[in-house]
Amino acid sequence: MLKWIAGGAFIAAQFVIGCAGQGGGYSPPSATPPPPMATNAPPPAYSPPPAYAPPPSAYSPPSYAPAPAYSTQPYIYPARGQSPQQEESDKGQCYGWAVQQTGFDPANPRVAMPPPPPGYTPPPQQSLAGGALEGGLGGGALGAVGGAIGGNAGEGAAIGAAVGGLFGLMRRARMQEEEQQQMQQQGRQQQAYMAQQQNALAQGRANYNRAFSACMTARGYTVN
Amino acid sequence: MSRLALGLAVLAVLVAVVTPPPVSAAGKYDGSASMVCAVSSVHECVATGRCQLRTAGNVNFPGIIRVDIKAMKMSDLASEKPRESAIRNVDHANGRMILSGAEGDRGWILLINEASGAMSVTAAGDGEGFVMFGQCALP
Repeated sequence: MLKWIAGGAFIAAQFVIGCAGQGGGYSPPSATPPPPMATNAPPPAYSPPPAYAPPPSAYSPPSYAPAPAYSTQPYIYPARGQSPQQEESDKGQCYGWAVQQTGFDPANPRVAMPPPPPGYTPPPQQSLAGGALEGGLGGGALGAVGGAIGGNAGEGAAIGAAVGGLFGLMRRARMQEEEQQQMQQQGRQQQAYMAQQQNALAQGRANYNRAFSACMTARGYTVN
Repeated sequence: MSRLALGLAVLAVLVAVVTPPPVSAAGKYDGSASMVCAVSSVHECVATGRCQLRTAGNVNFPGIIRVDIKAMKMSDLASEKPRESAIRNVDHANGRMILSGAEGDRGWILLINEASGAMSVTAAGDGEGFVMFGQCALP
């Protein structure tokens, strides 16, 4: 019996060792830090700039809001060992130059767009006097409101309905279809215009990034 | 025998007097009683000459209406919405009852065959017209 137990334990141990040796199991990544980069003059205490602060004195744009601008900015490495203060100063100056060159300010993103298509309306807003008050129900509702003010909602509703009547409230189905088609077309135009606007913004931002990168590269930074 | 014949004659007279006269087919839908009329088809026409088949719901007309000549009005029975039209004029011609009126920017004519109850309606507006057909019944 003891031999059987020992044999089972031996087989289980062999199985575990075999799995580990085949490399099929998960092996966590090495915690050993990578060797340091061999650079000539690495910056003493450089940290990536997730939160950009305006330069202290060299550049002070009037309304500088860097948060949206640097959200998609390339990574910048001071290849010549520039100090963080120098880097911030260079960034500020390159920002101004890139804005001037491209006409796109990432802190205030605006693009020159053609006038909106006819029928273009800003995103719809709920109105109390909207379509719900149109048609027969509208006549009845308005009448009911008037009647309620006068103390008799039912009579008011009847008066309102009588204004529209059976024939007065008839509507051409073709006209309704045309209105629906017109609304759909306006919606498509609106979407196309908004997409065009987004594309223009993206293009402006890309141009700005290219100009900014060129400026920083010329100042001795590695931009990626 | 003669008494029997006399009794039969009296009985026949009584039956003839007491029994209401049969409603004449020609005057069944003459407006003496209110009618319920259902729209079965709607044609929508425009000034260019094009007409298209619609339904009452398509053109926002009630599918069932009550025609009450005594009250001189027609009302919607198909929905809960209180919707009615005033009848301005009633004519009878050649076994047809012809109702007419005006409403908003439209004028309308509703014709009912007094014998069969068949209904024809036209409503005309600017550059547009509706022709509807249906059937009336006595509730």
